Amino acid sequence: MTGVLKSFLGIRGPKGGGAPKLHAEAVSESPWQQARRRFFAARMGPWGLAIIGTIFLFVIIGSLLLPFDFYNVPIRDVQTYAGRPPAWGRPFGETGMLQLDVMMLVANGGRTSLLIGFATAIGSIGIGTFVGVISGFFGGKVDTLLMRLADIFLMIPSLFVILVLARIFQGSGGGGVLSLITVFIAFGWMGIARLVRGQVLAVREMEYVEAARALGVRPIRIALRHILPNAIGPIVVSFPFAVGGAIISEAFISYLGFGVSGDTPTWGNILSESTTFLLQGNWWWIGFPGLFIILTALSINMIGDALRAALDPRGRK
Amino acid sequence: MSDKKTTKSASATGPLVELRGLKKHFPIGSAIPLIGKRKTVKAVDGVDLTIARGETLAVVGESGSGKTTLGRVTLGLQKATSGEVWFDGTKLTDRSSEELRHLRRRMQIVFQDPFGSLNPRLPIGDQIEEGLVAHNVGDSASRREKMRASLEIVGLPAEYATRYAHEFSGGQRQRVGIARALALDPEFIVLDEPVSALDVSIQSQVLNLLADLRTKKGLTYMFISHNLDVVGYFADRVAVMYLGKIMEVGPVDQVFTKPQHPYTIALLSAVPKIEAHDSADRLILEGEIPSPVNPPSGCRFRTRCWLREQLGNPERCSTEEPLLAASPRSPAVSVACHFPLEDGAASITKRGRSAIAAHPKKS
Amino acid sequence: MSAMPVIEVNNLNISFRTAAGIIHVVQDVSFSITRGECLGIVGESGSGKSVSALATIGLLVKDQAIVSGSVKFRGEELIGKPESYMRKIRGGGISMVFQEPLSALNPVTTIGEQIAEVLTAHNRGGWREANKKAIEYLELVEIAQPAARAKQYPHELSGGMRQRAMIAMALAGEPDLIIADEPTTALDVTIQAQVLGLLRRATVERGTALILITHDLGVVSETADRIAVMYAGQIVEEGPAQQVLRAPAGPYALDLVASIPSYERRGKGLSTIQGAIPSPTNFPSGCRFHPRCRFAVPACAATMPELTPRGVNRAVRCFRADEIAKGGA
Repeated sequence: MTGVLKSFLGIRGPKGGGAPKLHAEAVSESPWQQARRRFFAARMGPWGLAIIGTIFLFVIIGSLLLPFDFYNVPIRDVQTYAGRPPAWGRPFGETGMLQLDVMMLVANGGRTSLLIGFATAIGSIGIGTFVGVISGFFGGKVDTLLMRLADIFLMIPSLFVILVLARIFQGSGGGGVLSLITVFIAFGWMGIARLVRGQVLAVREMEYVEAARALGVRPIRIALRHILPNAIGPIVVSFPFAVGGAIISEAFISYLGFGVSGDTPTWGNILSESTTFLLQGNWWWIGFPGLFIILTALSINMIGDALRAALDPRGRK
Repeated sequence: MSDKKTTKSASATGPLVELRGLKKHFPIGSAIPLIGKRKTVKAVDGVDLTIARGETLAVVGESGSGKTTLGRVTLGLQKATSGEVWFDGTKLTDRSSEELRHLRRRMQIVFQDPFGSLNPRLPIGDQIEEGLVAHNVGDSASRREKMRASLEIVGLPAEYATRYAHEFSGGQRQRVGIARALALDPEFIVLDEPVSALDVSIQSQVLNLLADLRTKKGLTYMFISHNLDVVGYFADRVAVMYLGKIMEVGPVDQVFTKPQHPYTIALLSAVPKIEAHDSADRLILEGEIPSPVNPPSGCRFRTRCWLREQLGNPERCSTEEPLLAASPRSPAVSVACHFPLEDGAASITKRGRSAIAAHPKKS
Repeated sequence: MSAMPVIEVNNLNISFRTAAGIIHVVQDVSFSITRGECLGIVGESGSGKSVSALATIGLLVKDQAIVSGSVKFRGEELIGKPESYMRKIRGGGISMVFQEPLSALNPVTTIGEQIAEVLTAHNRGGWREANKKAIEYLELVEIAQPAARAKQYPHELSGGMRQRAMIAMALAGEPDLIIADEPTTALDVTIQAQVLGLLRRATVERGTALILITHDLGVVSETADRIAVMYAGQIVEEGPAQQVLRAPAGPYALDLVASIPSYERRGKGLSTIQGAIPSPTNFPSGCRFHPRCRFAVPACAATMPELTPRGVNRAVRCFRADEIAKGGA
C-alpha cells in the first residue's frame, strides 16, 4: 500500500532502464499516477485544493495568533452595541453584543468545524470500509447480518436522533464536540459500507482475482493485494464529500442550537447568534462565517468532482 | 481408448486428467429454502473425459454447453456438485482447499479476456511472479529470474516487467497471461478461449506460441473453444458438448472427417468457410438452444435434431437418454446418440441428408 | 455496374478531436453499391470499418468527429445535411443493424412496439396498423409465434431472436440500404448461420443493398458479393468476394487469409503477420502496412501507395502487387 501512496504522491523509485517505448508516452504510469496526472490536468481540482489550502492556513494561523478566550471579554462600547463594521485593524468587523473580533471567531470556529468535518469523515469512512470489506468478502450470514444492521441504522430518522443526542450531550467534553462527532459517525457509516461492499463484490468477480486463486495465492493476500486496491476508488472520491457533508451538518445543527455549545465557537453556532443582528445592519457577523462555510463546501466539492473524474476508468487519457 | 469409467491409475502411463460423472449445477433463486426441488442451471450434467499426458483435448460447444464451467470445475476453481476429478492419480474433488492450493502448481489456466484477467494496478512482472511467491519457490532473486525467463519465452522483452496492463495490446496481454501460467512450470493448462478475443492477425501468433510451448515443455492442454476451425487445427482430440453433456468425443481426424453425431455434423456444417460454395447446402438447425434449467427429456439434442426429423421422429429419442458409448466401427470415438451416422461427412450436403431420409438406418 | 448506385462514397476522411490532439482515423475511403448488392467491409480492430459506416449516416458525434468527402445517397449529398434531414433518412432510407442487440434495443418497450415505431416514424401507417404490420415483419424474419413474441421485451428473447428482431426493425422502414455492423459476432455459430442466411435472403428479395461489416472472412465470403479490405483506416484491397479471398493480390489480405487456422491446415505451421496493428496516433510513414509486410522494400516506407485498379473490378493498394502475383518476395 505504501507503494500505492508513493505512486500517487509522485515519489518515483528507480526505473528499469532502456525499455523500448510501447506507445506515444515516454513514461510508464501506474493507474494511480494516471489519476494524479488527470487530477492536476483539469482546472477544478487544483483550484479546489488551493482554496481549501488557503482556508486551512487562515484557520491555523488565525487561531494561533488570535486565540479565543471565553473568559476575556473586552470592554463594551455601549454606543456600538450592534458591533462595528470591517475597517483597518478589524478586517472582518466586530460582533454585536460582546463586540468580539469576527476574524478571531471565524478562525477559531473554523478550527472546530474543520476538525468535526475531518474527524467525522475519517471515522465514518473507516468504519464503513471495514464493514463493507468484511461483508463483501465473507458474504453469507456475516454479510446479511451486517447489511441488516446498516438497514436498521438507515431506517432511524437520523436527523431527530442526532438533534436529541446532541442536545443531551451538549456541554460535556469540549462543548459537545466529541459527542457530536460520535453521533455523526454513528449515522454516517452506512452509505460507505454499502458502497464498499458493492465494489468488493464487483471486484471479486473480476477475472484477475480468479487468476490469483488459480495461481494458488492465499485468500488474505488476494484480499489485500487485488481486491482492496481496486475497490477503494469510490472511497477516495467520497472522502471529500463526507467532510463537506459533516461541516454543513454541524453548521445546520449548531445553528438550530442543538450542536456545539457557545463556549466553543464553530461556524454554525456563530451563525446562530448573529442572525438577529442582521436586522440591525450587521451583515459581517453572519456574512464572513457564512462565506467561509460556502467556500469550504465549494472547494471540497470541486476536489471531489475532480477526483471522481480522475479516477473514472472510462475517462480517456 | 474408451471414455467409460476406468480403474484409478497412479502410474505415469495413466491419463493425466480424468473426469468421472462430473456435474455442476448452479442454484437459481433466493436462498430461502423452498418446498420441493429448487431450480438449478445444469451447466455440467454428467461428463466423463480423460486427457492423456502431452495431449491436447479440445472442448467445443456453443453457449449453454457448459464448456467454460467444465474448465473451472476441472481445476477446482469451482466446486463440483457431484462426480470426481482425478489429476495424476489424486482425487481432486476430495481435497481440502489448502491441499488444492498446493496442487495448483501443477495445473494452471489461461483466460479468455486479456483485459479482465490482469490486475490494472500491479505491474505485470509482479503478477507473473505471484504464483512463485504464493508457493515459496526459491528466493526473491531466483523468482525474478524465472519471471524474466517466462516473459522471454512468450516473446516479450524482460524490461516490460515494470509496465502496467493498460500499456499493452490485447495480444501482448494474452502473452502475459500465458507467461503467468507458465511461471510455475505446470504440467496441465486449461486454455479458456485463449484466442477468441484477439484480432485474426494476432490469433495465429498466439496459437503458434502455444503449439511451440506444447512441444518444448510437453504440456497437456484442455483447449476450450467455440471455434471449430481453431480446434481442428490445434487439438489432438475433441469433445463436443451440448447442454452440459458430451455428444461426441474422439481424435480430431476422425471426428472432423467422419462425424457421427448429428450435432457435430450441424456444427461443422454451420462454420462459414472461404472455400465453401453453396450456402444452400448448409445444414441450418432449427430453433434455439433450450434452457439449461430444463433440458429436454431423453436425448437433450432432440428438439433441434435434423436427423430425428429425417427418421420420422422415433420415440426412443424422447424417452431414453443415449449414453456415451464407443462406436463399434471406430473404437477411438465415442458417441451419445441412438442413431449415430456412419458417414457423417456426406450429411454435410443436402443431397447426403436426403439420402439418409430415403434409407433410414434401423437401430 | 450499369445501374445507378444506391450509395456512393468518395474520399471519405474522418478525424477525431481528442485530448491528445486530432487523430485521423479514416483516410480516403471510397465505395459504391447498387441495388440488391452486398458489400462486405472487412478489417480488424482499428481498421476504421465501423467508424466509416457510422459516418455515412451521420451517427458520429458532431463535436468530436470531423468528416469530409462525399456520401451520395440516391443522388443526394449527405455530408453537411442537418440532423432533421438525416433523421428522415435513417430507418427509411438507410437502416443499421448493430452487433449487440441487447444494448441497441430499448429494454422497456416490447419489440412489437419498437418495430411499430419505425413504421410510424416513416409514415407507413397509424399506430394500430403499424402494430399489425410489425407482426408481419417478425414473421418475415422467421420468428416463431410472432404475435406472442411481439408482446415480449428484449430481455425475454434469446440472442438469436433479438438479432432477428433488429433485422425486422431494419427492414420495417423498407430502406434502400442496410448497414449491418458485426451482426452475428455475438451469436453462436449455428444461430449465426440462420441469421446470416435470413439477412441475405431478405435483402435479395427486396433489392435492398447491404453493407456487411465484419472481421470474419468466412462470413463475408459466403454472404458478400464484393468486399473491401480495410487496414489502419484505409481500403487496401477490393474486388469480388470470392476472388479476393481465394487469390488475394495485396500482402495484407494474402497473409491474413494464410494465417487463419482450419482443419485443412493441420500439421502445417500457421503463417503469421508479425508485429501489431498500429494505433491512429502512430501510423507508419508511407504504406501503413510496411513494418509488418514481408514484401516490403525501402520505397514502401517512403511513399503511400494509391489504390490502383488491377484486373476486372479489382483494386489493390500496393507497389509490389505484380511481384506478389508472381509468387516472389
